[in-house]
This record gives sequence, structure tokens and C-alpha cells, in this order.
Amino acid sequence: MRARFLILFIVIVGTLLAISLFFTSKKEAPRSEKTTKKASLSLLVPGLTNRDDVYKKTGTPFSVVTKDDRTYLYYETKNSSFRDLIVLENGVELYAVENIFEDSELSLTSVLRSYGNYGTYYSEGPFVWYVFFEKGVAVETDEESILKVLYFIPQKESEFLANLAPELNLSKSSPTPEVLRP
Amino acid sequence: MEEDNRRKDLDDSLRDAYSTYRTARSLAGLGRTLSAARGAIAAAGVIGSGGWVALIVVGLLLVISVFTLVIVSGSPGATSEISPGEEQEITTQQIFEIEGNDPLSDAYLKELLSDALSNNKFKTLLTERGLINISINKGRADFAGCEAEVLGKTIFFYGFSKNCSKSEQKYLLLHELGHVIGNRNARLYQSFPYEDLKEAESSCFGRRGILLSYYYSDREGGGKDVFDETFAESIAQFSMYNERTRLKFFPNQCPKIYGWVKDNIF
Repeated sequence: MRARFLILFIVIVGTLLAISLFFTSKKEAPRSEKTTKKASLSLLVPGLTNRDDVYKKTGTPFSVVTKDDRTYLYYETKNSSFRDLIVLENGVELYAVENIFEDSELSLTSVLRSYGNYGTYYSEGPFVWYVFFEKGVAVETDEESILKVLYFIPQKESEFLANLAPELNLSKSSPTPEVLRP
Repeated sequence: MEEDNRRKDLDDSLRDAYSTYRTARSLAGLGRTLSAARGAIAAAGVIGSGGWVALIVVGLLLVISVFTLVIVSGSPGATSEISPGEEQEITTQQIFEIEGNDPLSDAYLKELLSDALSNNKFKTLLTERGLINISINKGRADFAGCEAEVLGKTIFFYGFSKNCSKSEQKYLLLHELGHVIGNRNARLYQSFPYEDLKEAESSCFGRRGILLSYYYSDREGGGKDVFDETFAESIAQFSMYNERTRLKFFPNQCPKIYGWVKDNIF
């Protein structure tokens, strides 16, 4: 009789444990079937990495747009409003924009410590860009977290201003006022 | 307004009733399972008749455990209403720093924002990174229009007292505070599913891809970043759909946008 009670006890405790685990375990979100990149865009080298290497390292893009001698490769992220982008010019990476969604991925403190002097630029969005011209890196930040990283061929500020800034809608002045009604 | 409130109450009651019905069904299912298990165990001769009391007690414990876990882990669909959590008396001076030649009184600002600021989540998102500056008519005292802009934590208003109606003041203020929430909560801002919402509820958006209630949703002007403007506008629209006739459609026509704001901002 005791042995039977013991078996019953173990079965019930096991059931309780299983139910507890079922309710408390974090349910993983279903993996998106959309094409997300396989590796960080920091592994690519603007000015050097060619199309084949891009595909090899980051996988097949979600969408490809060709315009003159440029090819725009878009990769899905966790929010389809923010797509990662790699731009090729004549088959070689010109620049790339990567979205950062977690503080653990990259910290502003470490970027500032590593790259030194920067220029401040503004986009139409609410955050600022710190551009490290001679390092070929720029970060979009709310002064606390990094939200986007731009990788480009290192260049002088004047070149950045003439070439990349207009394409990325970055300017040295702050955004224009919003108007409710005339 | 009364009609809307009645409908909202009715919706809530129906939701509650459905939830109770589902719980009852689950319980009934659990009861049947227990009964079947009891039969199977008896048939297998695992326990004698004296063990039934123990089995019933354990079964009850099981049910109580499940309920406790469900309550602790929270219902997945549960969302907060625009209602105060804990009542806390605040002054707007604890939230805003106002400058300019046409200052707003604390009482007036509080009157404009009483509903929104009574919600703790909204208030926390807005204020946990410090005071918000409000600048009134700075350098443009004779401005003929009714304009506003946000730079970081500063909201600039032009013609606010002179040219905006009270309803416009409230709406404009809530819209600009929506921008401040975005500016101050970057990860939350990044989670706003703008593209998905635009695809799912396209009738809520104007030609420019901004929510219809935005004055410049179909014409040139206003903010250029459609994501940013929709984020801010959704907060203003959520806060005032009950007060402005042209926003009445919001909860019914744009339930996903409404739901996102309700779940994440209020």
C-alpha cells in the first residue's frame, strides 16, 4: 500500500511540476520566416567586400533594388519598419546600415571610447548621429543607447557631407519645425 | 460620449463574461480528466478505497496550483486601461519647466493633461528621464499661426495661447508629448510596428503614410518622418478620441493601433 502511495505521490508531483513549467517558462516567439541577416554587418568591409562575400556572410536579402550602378540589399529585422541595408556600388560594398535593438549588442560608452572624435548629424527622426569620419563608422543614438550603426569607407567630413549625408538624409542642422495648422 | 462609454462598458462586460465562460469550460474539462484518471487508477488497482480522499485533496491542490500560476503569470491578453494606478497628487512643475513670455499656469496645464497624467505608465515613460521643457513663443511673440516642434526634451509652442483653441492646445500638447515619449524611450520607439500597422489598417492612414487625424496626413507640411509622426499621433489620438468628433473612429477602425498604444503607453 505504501509503495502505491509513493508511486501516486511521484506521479502527482511530476504533473504539478510539468504544469508549473508550462505556465512559467517563457514562450519563445516563433522565428520569423522572413530573411534576416546571418551575421553582423560589422564583418563586412566597405570598399573591399564584394557581392559574393556579402551573400556568403549575411545570407540572401529579403529584397534587392537596383538603381544605376548601385544595388540596395534589404534584410528583415525584428521590426519591419527598420530594415538593415547594404549598398553595393559596382558590386562592392559602399556602405551598410544595421539596426541595433539591444543594449547588450553594442554600447555607446565603448564606441565613444574606441573611436574618439565625432561630428554630430541629424536626420528627420528624433535621434542624433555621431559620425566618426576617419573610422568609417557612425551611430544613431538617444545619447544612451545605440539604435543604428552606419559602416562606410573612411573619409574626411567634407567628403561625407558631399557624398553620404545627402543619400542618408543627414544634415548638420536640427530638423524643421512641425506645424499643426497654418 | 455617453453612448461610447455605454458601448465600452458593454464590450468590457462581454469580454469578462466570455473569459468566465472559458474558465468554466477549462474547469469542466479538468474535472472530466480527473474523473477519468480516477477511474483508470482504480481499474489498475493502484490505490484502495481509503486513498480516494487523498486523491481528491491532491486533485484540489492541483486545481488551486494551476489557478495560482495563471494569476501570478498574468492573463496574456490583459491590458491596462487609462486609469490611475495609485492616486498620486502631482504638480505639473514636477514634470515641466516652462519658459517664455506667455507662460501657462500650473492649473491650466494640469487641466489640459489631467486624464493622461493620471495614468502612471504614461507619466513614467514621460518623466523618468527628468523634466520636460516647454518654451512658449520664444522669439516669435507675434506669430500668427499655431505651431509646435520638439527638440529632444524641449517642446516649443508658437501662438499657443493666442491662436490655438483649447481643444487644439490639448491635442497639440499630447502629440508633442508623444514625441517626447519616443525620444526618451528609444527601445519602446523601436518596437512600434509602424509598417505592420500601416499594412493591417491602411484605412487609418492618409496619403503621406501618417495617421489620418494628423493635420498634414494628406497634404504637404508638418513633420517629415512618417514613422515618428505616426508614433506621436497615435498617442494623441488614443488620449482624445472620445473628445473630438473626427477621432471617434479610432478604436473601431484602427483596433491594432489602438491596442498597441493601450498595451505599451497607457
